[in-house]
Amino acid sequence: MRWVSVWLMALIMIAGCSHAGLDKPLVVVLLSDDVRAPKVEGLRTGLQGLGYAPDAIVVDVLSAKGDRSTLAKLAGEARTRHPAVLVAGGGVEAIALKEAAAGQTPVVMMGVASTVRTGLVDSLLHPGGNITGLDNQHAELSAKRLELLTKLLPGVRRVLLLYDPQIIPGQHALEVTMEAARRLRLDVQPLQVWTLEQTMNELSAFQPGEYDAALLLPGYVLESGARNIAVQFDRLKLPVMGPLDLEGEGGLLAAYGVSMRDQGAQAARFVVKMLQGVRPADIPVETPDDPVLVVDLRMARKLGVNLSPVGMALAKTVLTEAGDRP
Amino acid sequence: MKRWWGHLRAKVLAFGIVMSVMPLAIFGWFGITATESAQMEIVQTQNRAAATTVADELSRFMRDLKMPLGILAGTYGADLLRADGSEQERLLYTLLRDVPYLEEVALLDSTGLEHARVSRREITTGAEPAQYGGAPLWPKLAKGGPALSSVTLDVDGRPLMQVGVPLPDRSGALIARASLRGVFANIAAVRGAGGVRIHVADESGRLIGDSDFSLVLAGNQVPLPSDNDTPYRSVTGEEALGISAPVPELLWHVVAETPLDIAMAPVHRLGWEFGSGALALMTVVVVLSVIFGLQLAEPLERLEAGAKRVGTGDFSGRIPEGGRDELGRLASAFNAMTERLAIARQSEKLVAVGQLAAGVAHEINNPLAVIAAYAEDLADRLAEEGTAALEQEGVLGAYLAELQHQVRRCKGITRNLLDFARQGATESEPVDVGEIARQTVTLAGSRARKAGVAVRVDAEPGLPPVQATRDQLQQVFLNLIANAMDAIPGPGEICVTARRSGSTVNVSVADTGCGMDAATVARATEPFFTTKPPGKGTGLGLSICYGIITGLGGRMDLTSRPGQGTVVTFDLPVWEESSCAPTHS
Repeated sequence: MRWVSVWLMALIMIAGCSHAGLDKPLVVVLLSDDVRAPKVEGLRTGLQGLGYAPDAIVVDVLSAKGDRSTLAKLAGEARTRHPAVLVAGGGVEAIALKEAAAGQTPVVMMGVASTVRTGLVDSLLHPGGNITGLDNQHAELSAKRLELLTKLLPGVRRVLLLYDPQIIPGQHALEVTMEAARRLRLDVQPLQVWTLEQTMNELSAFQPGEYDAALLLPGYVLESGARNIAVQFDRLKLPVMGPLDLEGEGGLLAAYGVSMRDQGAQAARFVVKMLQGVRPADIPVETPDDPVLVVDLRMARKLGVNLSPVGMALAKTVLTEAGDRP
Repeated sequence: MKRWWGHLRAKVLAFGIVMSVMPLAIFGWFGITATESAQMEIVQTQNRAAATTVADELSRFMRDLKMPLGILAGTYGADLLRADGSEQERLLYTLLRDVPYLEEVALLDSTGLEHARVSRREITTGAEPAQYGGAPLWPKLAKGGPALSSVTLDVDGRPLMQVGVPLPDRSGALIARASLRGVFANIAAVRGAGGVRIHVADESGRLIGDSDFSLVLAGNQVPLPSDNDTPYRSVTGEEALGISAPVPELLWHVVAETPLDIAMAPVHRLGWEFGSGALALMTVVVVLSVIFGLQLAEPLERLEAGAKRVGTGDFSGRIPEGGRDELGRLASAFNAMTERLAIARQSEKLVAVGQLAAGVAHEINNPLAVIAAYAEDLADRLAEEGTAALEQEGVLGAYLAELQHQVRRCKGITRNLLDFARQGATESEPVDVGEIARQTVTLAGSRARKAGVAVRVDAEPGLPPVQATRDQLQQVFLNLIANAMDAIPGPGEICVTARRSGSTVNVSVADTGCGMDAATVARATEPFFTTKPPGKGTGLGLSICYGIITGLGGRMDLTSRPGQGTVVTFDLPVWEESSCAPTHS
């Protein structure tokens, strides 16, 4: 018995000496649609930029592929994988993950609009719960988009506003934009976007020339159905300004904000902080560091509009036939 | 009972542990101390590199902020103020586009009144012009020098600072508001990935940049580390090693620090691994020490037990001889010695028996002569008087009774002799010392009478039995009486006395012999020591007596002086029913 104890002790010591390699931290990203995949690419790029080699952190992606009814189930699955950090690709994903995580796993918002109004966080400075991240200010920047639209096209007076009344960021953005329109003395017409089909039907009723331009406010339908809606804008020959997320998808003349890729990259900072052990409640929600204006000259030529040098002065990226020019 | 450290195996084990642990402990202590020192140096080198790099990056960041403003101011000068609003906006938007982290830019006239302003987030169209004349940085701008404001936090918690560049001829100024959060967060996060934490403090020591922004919001003061490598309490509340580096032009300080537990983690890991390895090694050494200790101690313990057995007069046992090493050879020699001792003991007995033989023959001869005489006389009277007459007179019965008596006398003598000569193992039993003494004296009686020595037994009446074996005790008396008779050159006396003394019975055998000097007394109980002429004795008599008495739990003493005889005394424990341990003879 004495010998058995001695050898057992020795085995325990030897086992203690052998330091098995620590598991790589797991980050699970939840996306409602693959159109938000560039955010994941940005997240990976951001992590590398912060000193984490591509294989230092495992990033798993769960996508609802446009079927929002599966989000809750996917959020539960993400939680059962016991990740170090959960990452939400947008607002609906953040709500699903917040419920699924139940305060156990920290959640990073990889670009979510109106985070305070939706109740995801208590305030930007003091998120309070187990969730923090990037508020992409889609709603707040809607006012600036409207101003920049007038800087690019000084003749614009009648603006069609497409907004999603089903989501708080849509309502928030409408409020902000209406106030901006009043200050800019613009005539704006809100158009509620409930479904893609309904929106397409209503847009098809408009005639070219009824409006000088259109402004897209944040909305899930507008995001996922951007390509289809762009067809109607093309028919109406409407210059459209929108969030930078829709760049290249929505047939926009100009976009202002932060690209999905940059949102993902900025969200990487939160993931790193959480991996370093900082509590989400102690990490203030950030707003975009550097919103940029992107102008598509091909669309301008197609629409036959002249762009003002004042607005063009802020345009960081100009899309031309020859390709992107910084 | 022996204490554990009295065992050889414990000493071997202790030796193994000490010889394995001591070098490891000394080597480990020096190694870990040196590693700790080297690790601190490495950590501080990393901290210094990080602090210097971040300070340089911040310095470059500020230069990159000011330079475009200076270029615009220098290129256009006062024309900026004379340009129309659209052109002013265009130029200011260009600045916003080209300079990251700029939140807004304003063009001021010589009074500090805003002429144009563009913002990255706010709507500036139609806004009321602001007056910067009372702003803290305006006095420096008004004097024609660049100005930097303190860092403030906006409603979103972003650290902001204003950078002012005067237009030539003090005609006005450009003021830009920059957000530092991006640059702070990136710097802190990048450095933090390597375990180094970066804190940026403004000119008053207030924390303005940190990977944990909650510390910035709390308005903490940053403790600056001392020049030496002494750990200090960081702004995070942890013990840390750190280095501070100034940011040129800004009067800021960058503190790069590594929490002590992270900094010393490799040393702790090394210590743990070394300790675990040492423990594993020690375990192996302990196991081997125990094995070798047992291998070494077991034969010695067997030898010790064998020696004790021989000491009690038991020569029957043999100890396993084991291998061919020194211990094996020692065991083999011990067994050979035990065999020789057994033979010698038997020889001693036989010598004693030989010495007795003549006396015994004489003792037997007397009853035999009586038997012969009675038988001859009985035969004659039977022939003369007839059986019936003798029977009627009772003569026949008297003759036969005498014959039987003489036969029993012979039988008793021979039984005593056989009892003495017999070898074998017996268990302790209650033995009457007086009876054994008398029987032995009977055996030696003939020789004593021939030598003119009177042998007297004086046993106290009611003497309790002692714990012994008859055989052993008889041999003790026989050896002592034989020695006493050898020591008496002419007529003399041997007195055997037995008295109770507490829980023992004290026996003495005193003679009126020639006695011994002190040197002889000192060696008298040594085996094979004898003063008798060659062939007269083996030198084992007293040593065997000593072994038997001590083996029975008693004590034997010898007192003698030349010319004054010798007294041998010994004690034996009184028999108790509970003390019936087996004893070998």
